[in-house]
Amino acid sequence: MREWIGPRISVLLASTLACTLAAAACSAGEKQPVDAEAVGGSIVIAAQNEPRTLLPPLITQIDEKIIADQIFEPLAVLGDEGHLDHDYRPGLADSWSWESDSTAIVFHLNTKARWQDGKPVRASDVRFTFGLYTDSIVGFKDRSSLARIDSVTARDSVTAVFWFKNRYAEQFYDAATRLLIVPEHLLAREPRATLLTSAFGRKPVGSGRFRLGKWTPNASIELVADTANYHGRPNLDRVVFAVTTDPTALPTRITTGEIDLAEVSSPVMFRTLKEQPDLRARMNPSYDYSFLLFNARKPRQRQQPNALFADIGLRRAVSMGLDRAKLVRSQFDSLAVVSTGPMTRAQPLADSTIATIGYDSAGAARLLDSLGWTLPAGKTVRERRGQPLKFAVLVPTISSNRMTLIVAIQESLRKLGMEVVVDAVGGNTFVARLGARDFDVVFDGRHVEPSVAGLRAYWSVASARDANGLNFGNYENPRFDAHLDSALAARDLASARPHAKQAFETIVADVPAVWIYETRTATLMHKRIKPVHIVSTAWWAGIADWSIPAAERLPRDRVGLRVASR
Amino acid sequence: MRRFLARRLAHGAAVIFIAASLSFLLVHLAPGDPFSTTLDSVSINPSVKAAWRAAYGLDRPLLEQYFRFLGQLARGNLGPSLLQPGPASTALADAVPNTLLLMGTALVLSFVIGIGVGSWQAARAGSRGDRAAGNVSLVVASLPEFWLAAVLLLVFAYRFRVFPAAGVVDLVMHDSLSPAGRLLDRLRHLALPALTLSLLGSASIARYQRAALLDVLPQDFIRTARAKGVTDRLVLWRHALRNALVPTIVLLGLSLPTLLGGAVFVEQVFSWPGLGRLAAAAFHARDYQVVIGATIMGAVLVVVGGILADLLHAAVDPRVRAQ
Repeated sequence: MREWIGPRISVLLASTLACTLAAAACSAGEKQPVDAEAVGGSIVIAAQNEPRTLLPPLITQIDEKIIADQIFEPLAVLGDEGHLDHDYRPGLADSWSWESDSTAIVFHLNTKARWQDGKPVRASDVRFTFGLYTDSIVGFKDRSSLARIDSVTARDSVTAVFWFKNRYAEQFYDAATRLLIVPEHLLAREPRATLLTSAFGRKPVGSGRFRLGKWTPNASIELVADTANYHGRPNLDRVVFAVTTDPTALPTRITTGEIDLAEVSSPVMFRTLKEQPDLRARMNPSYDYSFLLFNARKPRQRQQPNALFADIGLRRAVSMGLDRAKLVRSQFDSLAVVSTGPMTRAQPLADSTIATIGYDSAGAARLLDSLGWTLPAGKTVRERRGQPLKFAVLVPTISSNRMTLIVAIQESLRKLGMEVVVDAVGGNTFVARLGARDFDVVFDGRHVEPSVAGLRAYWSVASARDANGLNFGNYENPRFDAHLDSALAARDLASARPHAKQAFETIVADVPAVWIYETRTATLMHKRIKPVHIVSTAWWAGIADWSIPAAERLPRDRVGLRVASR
Repeated sequence: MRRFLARRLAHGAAVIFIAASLSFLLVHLAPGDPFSTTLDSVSINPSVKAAWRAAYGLDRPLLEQYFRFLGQLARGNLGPSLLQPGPASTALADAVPNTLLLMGTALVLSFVIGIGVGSWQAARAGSRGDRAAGNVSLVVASLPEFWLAAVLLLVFAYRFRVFPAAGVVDLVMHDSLSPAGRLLDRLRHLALPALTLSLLGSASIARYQRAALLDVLPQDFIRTARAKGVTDRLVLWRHALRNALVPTIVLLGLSLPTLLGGAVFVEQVFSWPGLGRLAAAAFHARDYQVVIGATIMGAVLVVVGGILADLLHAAVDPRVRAQ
């Protein structure tokens, strides 16, 4: 189903939409007919970390997200193409409509929707979920992304209404996909400050087509088909997530067939495994980028400018002195590209045509000379008024990519007459010093989502001035904020694009960071698995519809469900 | 004997108390806490993390937390795990059986292989075979656990596919197998991690055993046995080995903590859900209670190993008993 979701829905389009939705509702609301040939099979997916919790608002790791997406449902599911403003399939809601002024969206829940404990899903659950996600004490990490939703009300038991503070392009995306709906009757009495360790996080009950079977700590999480699900049972009997943290064990387990599917980010591993005859490789779009972030202010002293990097000229010189294409190719081969700004190419509003600072070591040297950073005879480090051009780069030791790359960066800048000290620290210290803005330069990384709304939290003036804000480099430019606000307030993505482009051009020209790389991951999957609904933003979104043809099944696919799933 | 045991138990209790207190202090003094351990967590507002700390009592002065911890410990309660539901003791109880299975198997194999190889070497001391075995055991004993584990994994799981690469059992098939099939499945999964630990252990034990036998073989009672016409084999296995086992048996008790240390790496490589892997994950995530619990378990093993070594020594050597 493809429908236009936006404030400009005309009556005609709305009625067309209603018809389309009605048809979709039949397929979504009614149980799908079970194809006996397609039903059965087990797949084992590598989880590279042990999940802490499966309670949706507290999920921070990708493995947690993949598992929770099988157990819980959003109101609507982003379509295969991933267009934020017009490409959705029904989830818990089987239809939706816009209020005439486009500041409210009405979701009609599937009347057959049930929690896995048998209780019906109600609009009050949606309202409760919104309250949970937006309660500051709960700690949903993207809480600011819901700030433009004013409230959620339950019009009746199966109709939830999202009320917005203003109209903008990503209204539907925010309402329909950000919240995985959770059961009020099981969570209402849980103390919110300690939800991280609530029993529900380890024994979740959702409305998705898989339910939790068995969680063996530090070993595996088994999801089994919910045979009584209102959407119809999934084709697969079970999906097992095998916790495999060791980098040696992962390729071995994939090669030997112990694991059917894994997301791979190591170029060496990818090169080795993609040639395996039983495996199929699929490249995923990138939603992660890393960069050398300059602190515009003195470390831990926001009131004073940074002695070195308050100067845009020096920031430009550092950027010009790095051959990023060569660095990225040598480190990642085909699993990364040079980053172009605080975005990744997979984001709909990203613009790869924006002019970036190219590699020009001679130009960088000239620029440094013009700034007064000259190389005294017989010395290897530039100086200005007796002060050497020396600075430390904060790097987390738990990121092997950044730890390797910083050495190459250090060497590149040494040739330019800069002395870079690698300040390698453990994850805890890194997080603490980043939050305290205690660095001159940090090799930081970000995970982004399709929407660019998160940019506000990381790069706006308000965030820089908030002691608890996430704008760690203290970057401030009201023009960037204005363009970003305009992009986020635009009524659709087409009209948001020019504003976003101006915002990106502004921040790239200000050089608050050297944008180093965007990593891509590859999904390696056993060929007997026949996937459908491979959503560009989340390959795991359609697992319930994946199947394994009877003729290609392995012994483990024939185990069947040991007990009635519900 | 009772007085001796009481004294050793009192010493052991003091060791465990000190280990628990030190681990409490060190883990709390290390940078970060359970809510600041992942790079993702940087996006959670510090005020929220402060509220979480208050909810779990981590905002209280360290001394207050320490006395609260001691109070809980005195009641046999480690307190709640901060990263998973339920008490930390439950997380440890889930992991300990897997580690005991791995360590127990490795311990038995280490001693059987080590004593066998050491005795074989001693019987032909100075020969080419003895020198070759000595060099091999020296090399094996000096290998890092994680390296040997990775090599065995690559050879036996990746290249020849004789054994599974990871886990305790087959994640999908195990529950549907017959009892014999389940046992076989468990043994197949146990093979590589146990082999890694036992190879490392047996290399050291073989060297001890060889040296102990070489001390015993020149003694008068061996010469007497030979003079009475006892065969070389019987002299070695019945007379010499029995006397040469004393230092090796003492080593049995002392091997427990060493094995646990090795298990941390081996469990990681083979995705073995045991105490070592749990402790490593808990330390990374600053799950204070689980880290302290795992340290206490380690201290208990040291104490038990020490007492066991003393008791075994006394059991096999009447001179020690008399003292």
